[in-house]
Amino acid sequence: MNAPAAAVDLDLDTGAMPWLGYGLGLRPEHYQDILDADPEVDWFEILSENYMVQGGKPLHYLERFSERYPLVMHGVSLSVGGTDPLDLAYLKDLKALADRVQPAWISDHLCWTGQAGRNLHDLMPLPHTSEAVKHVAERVRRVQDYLGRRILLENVSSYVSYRGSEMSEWEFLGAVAQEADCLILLDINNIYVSAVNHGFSPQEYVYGLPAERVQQFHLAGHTDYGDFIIDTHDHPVVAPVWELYAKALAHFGPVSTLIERDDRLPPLTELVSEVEQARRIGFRVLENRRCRV
Amino acid sequence: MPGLSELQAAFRRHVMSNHPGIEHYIDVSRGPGRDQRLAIYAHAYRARLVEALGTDYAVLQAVLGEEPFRELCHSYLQASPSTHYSLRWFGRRLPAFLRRNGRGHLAELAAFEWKLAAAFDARDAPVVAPQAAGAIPAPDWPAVRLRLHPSVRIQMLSWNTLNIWRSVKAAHPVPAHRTLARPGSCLIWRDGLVTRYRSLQADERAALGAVASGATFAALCEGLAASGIPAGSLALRAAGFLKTWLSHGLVSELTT
Repeated sequence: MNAPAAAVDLDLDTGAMPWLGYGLGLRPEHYQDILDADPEVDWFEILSENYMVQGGKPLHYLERFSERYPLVMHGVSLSVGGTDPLDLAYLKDLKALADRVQPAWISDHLCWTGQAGRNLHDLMPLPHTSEAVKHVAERVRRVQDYLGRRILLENVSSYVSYRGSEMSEWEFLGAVAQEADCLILLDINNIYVSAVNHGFSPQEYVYGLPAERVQQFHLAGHTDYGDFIIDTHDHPVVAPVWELYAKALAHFGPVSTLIERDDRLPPLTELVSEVEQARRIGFRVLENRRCRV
Repeated sequence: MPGLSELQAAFRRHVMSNHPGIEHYIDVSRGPGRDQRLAIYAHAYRARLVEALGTDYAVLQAVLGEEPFRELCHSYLQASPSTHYSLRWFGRRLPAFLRRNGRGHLAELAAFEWKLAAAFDARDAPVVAPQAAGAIPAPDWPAVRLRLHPSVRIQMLSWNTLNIWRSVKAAHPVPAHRTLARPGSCLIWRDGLVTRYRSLQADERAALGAVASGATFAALCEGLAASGIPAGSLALRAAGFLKTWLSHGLVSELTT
């Protein structure tokens, strides 16, 4: 095992991972517009798998962005809740990319993505059981040992829940984070989507998490089908999610915030205006919070 | 409640093949029906993989039309499910799948598109400047070897694939597929960040093949002789190829 990187010595009390401010998911369609316009975006999040290639345009632009902005790596393939062995080829490529990017942190999802060697390329839900907590936490620890740094795990949107679940989703997420000693990427939209789909209180979710482990927020849009909501990342952030975001900020304090859009990408200026909206809410809420203290 | 691996196996089989079993473990106490909710996952699985193939094989999709392309993708998905962590590699067996199913002209188009994608993100490597050839003394030339840029690919052509591809890209009416009177080939490579292709004559294809297998410049010339070029024109023809390859950024290394 390689020598641990500095991030492993991270002290939760001192918040050694930086507060990055207000960021945007980097998408190839906006590469040139970002470089030309240098918009008011503090940092960018890359989708790790898109840059696990050998060369060409993806890595060319990655280098240009890493020279100009703080970057964070966000993956979808760790399958940390899976029961197949950890994909060592993936971890090797992830580590090589991290060496190249020097990201502020690396994140993935609290889910499984395949089984029996078959990849579903989806963020599949886990049962909220103590067996799953133990299983996932052990794998997260192995991943963190290999990468030499703590990772962030994100809550996913889900459409089914399991009969045998023994705890709420937030208790499950918190228990995994505590037992694995990892951090949390809290997707505010996913809380909202799952709250509607499963009928729980989104505020209870937010207030039920170990606050000291929440390192990043995601904000995204979804598609409302009436009976349920699907996390499509193809619409602007909706008002109830902005409201939940404000409550989360008031509860957790400054947390690096990112606007995520994957489909039906609008012009860059529209996404930058959502980043601005997050920033305005952040200033307002954090100022009020500071005054209260 | 089964163990985690049994639960995931049941769910995976449901998503991939609509296999029964997972429904016993799903909580149905709230909201719309269990089957409707499970269908979200099965639908998303197919939609995501079809979308990935549509990105890699956009011209094939345009030629076939939306619905036939979707049907093709679903058949392919059953025959060759994704095993790599990245969607980037899911479509790699589609040309062979089409060939096995007797759709040779579509297989050739798919192979061409796959090679364009491969050139797009192939490994970066230095490119030898055209003037570098001038620095090599004449007596050293017979022993010179070339290393091609990692993005370089050759596609053999039995069909009017390039015409079809160009027509789709230009939004012109797409010609019917037909076999070429004489099979040909084309070269695919990345020039800086731009992916390019051009037709190859048989002698240049043979010369590139020789270079790729490590032949010296002398062996390359001998190969050209075998392809019927008069002995007096061999060096000139080979030098012409080299000049073109260097100016197009195809050569990563010249070693003596």
